[in-house]
Amino acid sequence: MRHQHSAGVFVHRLAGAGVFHVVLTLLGLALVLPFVWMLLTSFKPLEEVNLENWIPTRWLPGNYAEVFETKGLQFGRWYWNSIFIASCVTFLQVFTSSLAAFSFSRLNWPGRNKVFLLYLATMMLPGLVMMIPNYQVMIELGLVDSYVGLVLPASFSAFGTFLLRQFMLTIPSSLDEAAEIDGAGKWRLYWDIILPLCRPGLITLTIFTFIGSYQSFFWPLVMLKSLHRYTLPIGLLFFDSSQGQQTNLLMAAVTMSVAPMIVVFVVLQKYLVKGIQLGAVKG
Amino acid sequence: MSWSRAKKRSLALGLAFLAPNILGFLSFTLFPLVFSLILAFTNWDLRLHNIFRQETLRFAGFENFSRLLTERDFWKYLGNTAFLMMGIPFGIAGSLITAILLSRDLRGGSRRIWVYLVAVVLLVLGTGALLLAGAGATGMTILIAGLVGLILMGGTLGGSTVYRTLFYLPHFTAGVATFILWKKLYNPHTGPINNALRPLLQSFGSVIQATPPGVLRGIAWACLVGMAMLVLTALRRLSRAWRDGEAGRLSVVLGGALLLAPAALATRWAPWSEGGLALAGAAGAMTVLALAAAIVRKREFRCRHDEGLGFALMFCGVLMIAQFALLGLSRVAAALPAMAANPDGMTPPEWITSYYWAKPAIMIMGFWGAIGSNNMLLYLAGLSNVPQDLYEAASIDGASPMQRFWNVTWPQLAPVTFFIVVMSVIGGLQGGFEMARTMTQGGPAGATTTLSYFVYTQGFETGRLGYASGIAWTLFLLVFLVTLFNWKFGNKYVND
Amino acid sequence: MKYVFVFCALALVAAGTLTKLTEPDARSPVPVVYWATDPNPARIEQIRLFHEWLVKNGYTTPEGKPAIELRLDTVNFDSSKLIVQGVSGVAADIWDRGVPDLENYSLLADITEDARRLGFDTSHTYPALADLLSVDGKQYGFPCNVYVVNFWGNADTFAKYKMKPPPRSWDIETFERIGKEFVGKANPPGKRRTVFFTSAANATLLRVLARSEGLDQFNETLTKCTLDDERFARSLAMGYKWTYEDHILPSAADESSFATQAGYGGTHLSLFQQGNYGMIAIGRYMLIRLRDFASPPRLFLSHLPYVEFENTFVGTRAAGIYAGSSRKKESAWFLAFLASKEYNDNIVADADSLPPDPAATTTEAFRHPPEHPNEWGTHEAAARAAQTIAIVESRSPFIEPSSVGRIVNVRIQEVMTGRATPAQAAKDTAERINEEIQRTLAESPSLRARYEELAALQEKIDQYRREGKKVPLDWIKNPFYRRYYVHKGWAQEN
Repeated sequence: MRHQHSAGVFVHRLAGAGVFHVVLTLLGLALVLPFVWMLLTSFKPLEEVNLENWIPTRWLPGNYAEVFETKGLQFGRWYWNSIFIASCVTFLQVFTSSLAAFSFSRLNWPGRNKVFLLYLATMMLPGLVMMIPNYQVMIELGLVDSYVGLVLPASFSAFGTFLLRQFMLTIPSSLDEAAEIDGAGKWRLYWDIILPLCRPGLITLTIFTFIGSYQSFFWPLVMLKSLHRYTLPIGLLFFDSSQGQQTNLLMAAVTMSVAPMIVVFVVLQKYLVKGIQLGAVKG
Repeated sequence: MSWSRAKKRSLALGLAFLAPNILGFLSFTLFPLVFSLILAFTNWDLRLHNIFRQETLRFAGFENFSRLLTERDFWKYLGNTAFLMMGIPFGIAGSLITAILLSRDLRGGSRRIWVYLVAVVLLVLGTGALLLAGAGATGMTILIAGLVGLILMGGTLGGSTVYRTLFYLPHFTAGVATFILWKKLYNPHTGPINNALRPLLQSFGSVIQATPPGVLRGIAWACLVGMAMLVLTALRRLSRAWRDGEAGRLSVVLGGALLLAPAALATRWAPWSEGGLALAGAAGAMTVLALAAAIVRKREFRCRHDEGLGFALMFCGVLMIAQFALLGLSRVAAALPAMAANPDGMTPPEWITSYYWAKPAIMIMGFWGAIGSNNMLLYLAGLSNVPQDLYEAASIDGASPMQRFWNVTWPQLAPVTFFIVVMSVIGGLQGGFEMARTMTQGGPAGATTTLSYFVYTQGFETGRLGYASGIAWTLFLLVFLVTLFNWKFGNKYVND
Repeated sequence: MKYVFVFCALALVAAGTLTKLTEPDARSPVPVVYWATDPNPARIEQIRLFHEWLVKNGYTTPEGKPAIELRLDTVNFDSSKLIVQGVSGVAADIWDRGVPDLENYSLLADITEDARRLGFDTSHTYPALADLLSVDGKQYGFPCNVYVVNFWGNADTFAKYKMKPPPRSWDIETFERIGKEFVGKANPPGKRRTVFFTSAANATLLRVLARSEGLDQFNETLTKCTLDDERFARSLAMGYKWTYEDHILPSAADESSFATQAGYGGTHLSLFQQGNYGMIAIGRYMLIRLRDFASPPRLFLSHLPYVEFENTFVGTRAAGIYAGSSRKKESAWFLAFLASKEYNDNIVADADSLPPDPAATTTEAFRHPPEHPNEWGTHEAAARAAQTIAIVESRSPFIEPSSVGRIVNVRIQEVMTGRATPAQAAKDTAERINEEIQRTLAESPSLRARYEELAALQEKIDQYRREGKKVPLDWIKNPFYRRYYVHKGWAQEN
């Protein structure tokens, strides 16, 4: 009797959860289909890209190698540029933001809160407003079409400072006092104690900044002139406008430029979700 | 002002840590900000003021702004931006529903997993075997079945994390790469979307042709009646708020204007003017009647003008968008017989190469990215913070799931929703640049040019930096107004 | 954590060094001159020839190597991008886009002196191009090549559908009739159309059509856009009809649905070679890529169709020197090279449009290239068209040509997507262009005096025309009307 009852509940639960699974699966399918098409098309021969059948009759992994060899593109170089620039931006931004966040959260100096408010206020401004004068500044400094011109303006962010400050505020201040008793200076406090403790925050900011910079479009579009300095988004745009009818190669290129993000996301999503739910928004 | 040594020291120390960041902040944020504000009041033009040519640079006063407001394209682009922003509520609703689905505990006992696993493994293996055997024609079916199997397996094993990852991917990867992907998906003749739609529409076309035209006309009119019903309901709700002293004059008038906007525009858009006229007439008559009734009853505003403005605008705004959706539906229903009568059969839309479909196409793409966005994650966090005892109390009261949602979940999520709406509206006002530049170049015939793309073309393609700064600051002003409005009136709504 | 930081910093420094070192143009022993041009494979050979020419003419280093190295900048050849770059002070030394437009912004160096000294003044090329090379008596450029727009047709495609190649010169009725016959035979009924008479209706075709009724985009003195005219509306309507009723031209949707290999010259050429387009309206430069295909088709050449006055566009890819260049002297050598026999012979052999020097088109090598018998008959026809029916596009000094192009193109899109009637679009085009002219005048007051002067002249011309008097030819600034007035006998030649 008891056994029967539990089986009934089991079947009932199974069916209930099943409905949810089915709905979620279908939704997931709909969202993922574009990616599936992208992936399959990237393996097709050119004459098949327009067919209704998504699956290639001949699989051509060589398409990927061909993207790197296509004349008029420098895909390998663009890949490198994107990752290099994004890394520089990320490193600088995380470093300067952590310093500033430390100053805003652990040090007590007159006028601190007013300056912080100013930081917060600028987060609301559309980036578009700043682009035009920044471009003018780059012209004056002769940094148009240079790596430095791409990295420098992106390396300081109010958002990163804000995010890390929120993290640092959660670290108990008793630590500071203990460190002070040990005779540690503020730099030691920052370098040896606070930084290791806000690792999750640093990782979150790293992901945000890296992805943001890897994806950034407007600024590189305006700044870059030389083909060999292009980043991936600009390179893809160039590919699409110059040889975009080669859908299979284009999709291979798109797949390759999306792939690092998918990997980063799947591996580090725990930190990301936490970061976003802290009230931060991808920026 | 004599500061103690300690105070000076702390200031020096604080600034030392801040220095690297604040230097960058000053030179790349604050200075450009001030500079662009000045720029917006000059006639700075890269083509006239540069190292080779110096025309007189002059202070232009509000010239840039007055030119902008009289430029006919500006209003069109503002309209485009607003049109695309109508997708926002759908995206938010999608995120909310997804978050609710995901918030269920989907992992269960080991036995359950095994049942699913066996089914899924069979599905996947079968698919693989068929693929290897070279099944071509049914390849698509197998592909879909295989994918469903894979996702289901992942979902059963990994629970909601797996689904969450899948849902979040479109948003996370959104950028030039995915825009190029969608450009290919939307290709009118060879893209997979239309390849899939074509056979469906062919059979649908014959169904339409078999249906007597009266039915379709009926549907079209039913949609219009639906619109009228919405207006009526909303007006009643508004007038109740008015009577209860919850809505001031400004709120009622603005809300009413929003409600009537679709009907007013329908007279311009509708292919059959008598329908639009009837509609506008009906809506107008209702308003007049409502007003007349109010006057007869000598009703007065019992509160400040802007009381309840946030609620009124949000409520009426959502209903306005619902009306637009109905209006679109009714137009499609009315146009169906003609489309089906086409000798080539019913043809799928031409998406981004067609003037009329370009914006909906962009909105669909936006929806794809918005379902599993940050909003979903924020809602998930919000849902986990709803106290369980509230649900229990509701259950004891015998509330249905729907009632539980409206009475417990929705009010509890209000702060999250508020935050999401503010951020989405700000994002929406500034958005559209990347997609316009990558997919459509703002076309066809300017249909997808948003304000941010307009700034780009004016500033960086024609070199009118002063003018472009003027547009950017106008855009900022809009964003600022929206934000101000939200903080002033939204907070109250949330705290209700 | 701190080690991670330090490690990252070191790694980034290393990566940065690597990036810097692997920059393609890291260093060169001689000065480098950059040439912003289109990504055409022929440029590589032209650069090789130039380096040879330098040695032959004594521009060498003490070791006898070429004194400069010429490099390509193929990314930034779009003229609006060049303008923004030019004014920012970072741009290639030699530009071959739109000389008169760039001169508007004082971005080009005056080369009159060098031209006389090194022998590349305007007497070394087609007289018709003078408007495009000099402004107010100062020379700013010299042609890399000269192009004339004609229909180049694929005779094999026509033969496949059992049709004779169309006549060299045809009116619009003939064009439409043959076009309908062609697409009717080429496309099986009930299927998606994949073969078209020619590529989509564009601004060039539609403006040539309007010109063939005697209407140019600007008036005689270039002070006003005159497209608000039923003749332009008629050509817009014609484009729409050919696309959506007769289906002899593809729509935007048709065009975006082809899958093909693309390369220099865009996808049109591949589609032409594959037989999707029976003809394409293009210059002779398209032969470069056509010769790359395994079996280039037999070719014929037809002019663009006309209503009453047969005409077409001629233009030049003229090279000028950037005013901000630090290598102006060296860049001038390149312009001298463009006037040389070596270069002209290269253009003849390479088919990179017509050579700058008209004398080079009279040779047998030009007319009957031995390896390309499939092209025989088209070469001299193209050269003749350049000397007979071709007229340069009119440009107003009061508006940027790229703005004109953008405005016209959007209006054409509006007609093609059914957003505007041809009459509305024609009216709108003229209104917008004229607004833009007024805006330029407001922004650059220094142009005002010249504008007033020309506007007064225009009134005089209009009055003469009303009274049926002949108009003195030197009053007319618009190159199209200079020819058209002569054709109609309205001009008083002196």
